[in-house]
Amino acid sequence: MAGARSELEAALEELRLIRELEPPANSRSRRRERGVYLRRRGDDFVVSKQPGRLGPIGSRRQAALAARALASATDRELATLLDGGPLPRLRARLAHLADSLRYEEAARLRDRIEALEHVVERLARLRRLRELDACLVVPGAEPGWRTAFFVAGGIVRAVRPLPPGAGALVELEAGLASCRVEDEDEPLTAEHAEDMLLIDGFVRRPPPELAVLPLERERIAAHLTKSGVS
Amino acid sequence: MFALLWAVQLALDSLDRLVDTLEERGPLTAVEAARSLFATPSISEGLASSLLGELTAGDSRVACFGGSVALAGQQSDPSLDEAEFVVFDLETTGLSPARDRICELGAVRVRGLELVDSFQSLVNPGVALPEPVARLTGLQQEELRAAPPAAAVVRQFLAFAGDALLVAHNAKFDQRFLEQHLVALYGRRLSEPPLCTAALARRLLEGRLRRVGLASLADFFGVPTAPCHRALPDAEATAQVLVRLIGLSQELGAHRLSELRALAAPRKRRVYDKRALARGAPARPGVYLFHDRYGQVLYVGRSRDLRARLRSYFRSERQRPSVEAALLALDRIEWRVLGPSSRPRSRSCA
Repeated sequence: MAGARSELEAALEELRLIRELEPPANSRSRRRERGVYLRRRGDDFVVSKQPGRLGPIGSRRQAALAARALASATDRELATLLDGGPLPRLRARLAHLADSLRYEEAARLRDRIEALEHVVERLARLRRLRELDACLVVPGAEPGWRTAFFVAGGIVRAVRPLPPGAGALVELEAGLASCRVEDEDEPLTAEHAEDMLLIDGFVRRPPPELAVLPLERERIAAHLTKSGVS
Repeated sequence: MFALLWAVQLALDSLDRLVDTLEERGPLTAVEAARSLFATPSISEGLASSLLGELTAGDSRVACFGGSVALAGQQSDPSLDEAEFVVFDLETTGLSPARDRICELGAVRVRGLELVDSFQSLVNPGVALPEPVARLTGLQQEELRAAPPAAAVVRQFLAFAGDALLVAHNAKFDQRFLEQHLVALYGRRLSEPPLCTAALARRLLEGRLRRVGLASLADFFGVPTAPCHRALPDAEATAQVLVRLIGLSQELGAHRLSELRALAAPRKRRVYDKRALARGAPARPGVYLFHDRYGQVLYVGRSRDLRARLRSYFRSERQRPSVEAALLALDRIEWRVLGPSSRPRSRSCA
């Protein structure tokens, strides 16, 4: 299907152009500056632009509400934040406030819980994506060729054209070599997070022309053989 | 009301698609055109001709003759200094073209940006003049009874107007009343909608004037004729306002009649007129860039199908505000089909 060849390439090119040109009508040109992080200060949490473990979060307002919700969290709750942390306790508190007819307090708490739920969901997704290793194979521009995107730690580390025949295996080795990176525990930047979310979209709902393979030489080679590349 | 709007919208969308198809493929038989428009595999020639005749009636872009459909010939596009306008105004017995009647018609000819001739006639509406209208206009039931019927006055007006571009203030209102009679007399509507001075003023005076009623504009420009709810003085005031608006549009760089029409056109028409920029885009995945006239990139997007995506921008659906602004400033579209052998392509307004 020539009409659906490189949607993934188009998405990556779009992202590159938006970053390079910062077109005024693209909301994503401004989103890059919007990534904020939650940082601990004393017993409280504050919203900061300095990269940290809890972020990046797309909305500053959502981050501020989540910070308020986390203010009363215990160390144990913070340690299990990505599994919900203080959320069960906060939900119980919400029910208690509503039962006591303290609706205004309940409404404020409800907004904070909602924001924290979104933040926790995003952080959990980003954590999962940091562990994503995969090879995405799409048809190439020339007949018989394929293009492989080597993803490690959720980020595209290499893009290699795979020619028909044995040359594909050489390219495959080169692609795999560029994925051998040390486990990174550096805080994510907003740009990295955006890249990872884009790749995740294709991995979760791959278009028909896209094959998502584990980052294993044999599995990728078998796929190429099956599809007639090598 | 909604059903009517929907039907009008549908007709306009279908016409736009038909013009697109004719521009791409040239003249078509009625059956071919109906098949492409209505996505039906089989249709009789009689039904196709009848449907197309109804759809294209009153649209000057398309000509239906015999069993075929083609684009009408190019219209002349004189400079604004040389263009001829006929500014007209109607007084009516009410606001509904279906229920109410014309009771006075006044018109002024503008040539070389000067008011050179006028036309005025009372019209016998054939119904009693409502008291509020009599109070507003000063018209008397007795003088209207002695006036010629609407059909005769509309014929005289058309002879007066000739080929000049019709202009009115809040033109939709006057257009609807006029077309009621045109349909009854000739079975056709106006070949192109009149230029609306209210729409033009809204565009040219944005941020400077909150109201664009005729009285506000006459006051703003200090024109010598004060509008008074009578057809000829109101047409004269509109003509004087038009001349000032043409001056403003010339300052903005509009020199030809088509450019003035573009300034007065509603959003849908302004954006639709740029659809040619998307012509030639392939039905393949890639990215596209909207450039303004200075070459600045306004918007970047991607699609699985560049042709379908780019065409969709020029239909009736409103985009989000920033993309909408980019579309209005759009001058060139560049697209890149992804793949090593692809080269950037673009199409510009020039």
